[in-house]
Amino acid sequence: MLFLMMLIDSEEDRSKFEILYEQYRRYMFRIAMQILGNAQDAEDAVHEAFIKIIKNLDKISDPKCPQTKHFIVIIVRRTAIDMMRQKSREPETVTIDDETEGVLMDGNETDVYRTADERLVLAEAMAKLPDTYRDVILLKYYHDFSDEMIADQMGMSVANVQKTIQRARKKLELELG
Amino acid sequence: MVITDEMLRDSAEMAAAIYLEDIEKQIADVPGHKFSARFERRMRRLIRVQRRTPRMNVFIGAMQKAAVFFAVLMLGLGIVTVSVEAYRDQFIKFVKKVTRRSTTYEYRIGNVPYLKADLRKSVIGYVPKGFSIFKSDISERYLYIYYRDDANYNFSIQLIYVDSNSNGVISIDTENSEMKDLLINSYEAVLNTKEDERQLLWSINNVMCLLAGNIDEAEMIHIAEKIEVLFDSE
Repeated sequence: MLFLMMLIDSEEDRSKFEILYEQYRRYMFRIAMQILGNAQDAEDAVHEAFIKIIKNLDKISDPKCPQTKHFIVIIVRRTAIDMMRQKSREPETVTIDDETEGVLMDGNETDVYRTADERLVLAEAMAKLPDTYRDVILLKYYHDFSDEMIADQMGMSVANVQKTIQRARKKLELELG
Repeated sequence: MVITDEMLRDSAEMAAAIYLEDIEKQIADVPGHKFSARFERRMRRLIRVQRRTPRMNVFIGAMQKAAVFFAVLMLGLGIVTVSVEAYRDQFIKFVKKVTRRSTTYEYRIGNVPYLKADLRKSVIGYVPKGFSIFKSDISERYLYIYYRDDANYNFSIQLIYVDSNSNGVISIDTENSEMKDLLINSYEAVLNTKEDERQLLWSINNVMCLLAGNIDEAEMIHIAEKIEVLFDSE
């Protein structure tokens, strides 16, 4: 029985990957192309991104749902950006607003941003966060990834993930404050 | 004002949707693209590997191990075994071809003085990015190194020292495969391609070389060209 279950699981993963490939390869190419500006590099990025997707197939439940699309965007964008950085040998930089360091949360103000409009305002601010902040925040709160999973996905340490979440939150608080 | 986990979770789906809309706008001007044959080939390979069950990957690994054992065994005994009747014609033809070539390449016992070499001092001058050694077996007269990367691409290098005490015979599955002749650093070589699996067979003096794997042909040739065997007379 266990043997059959293993076969079924892997069969699902295999067909899932082929659906993802058919569904997203052109979309992924356009994203990579927009970042890299070179068709061959963009193809390499898409190929590299699919290799990363294989490693994360267990995290994808429905290949065609928006959550999957967003996850794929994160993977292909980060792959393309990493490739671009490797070419220019430019290290990744995360803007840190030192003034936001050490700001403590005040539990008395949690009742704001409850209406649909208020949620939209926060969503817009989240979408406009710097790339790394936004990706980490959405992996955490949209994809329900653990800090360890985010660290693995983003190539960061767990401590760095936690720090990034803290900084992203402070940045949002400052912008919406 | 404080932003809580709950608020972030409440707005996350909407934020992702806004972000995806923004991405759509950013890529709106990127023209359509016809993927290159290279990309399609690499992706087909990826899909094929992905289609295999984990059990099949274990089986293929075991088969590769068995193939190495078989090659060593044949080297020691100086015999060729045909296991499948259907392969017989092509197999024998290929063996004859190899034998003919090995005569030309001075494989045959007693044909030429054999150069002494220590395969432990061999140099693998090029390994494609992302590949690392998964297993190896290296001695004075035999070298086997198996490389693989995270995407299930793999290749193995076998160097077999041939002298008057041993024949150099390697069997290769040639059923429905494509074969072509080429040169590796001026040594004649045979490239056998079956689907995405390739074997490149050549010799460096009296050292037989077999490079096998599922990597690109160009990469395979580049790896082969960068393999150096140090002989005593050099």
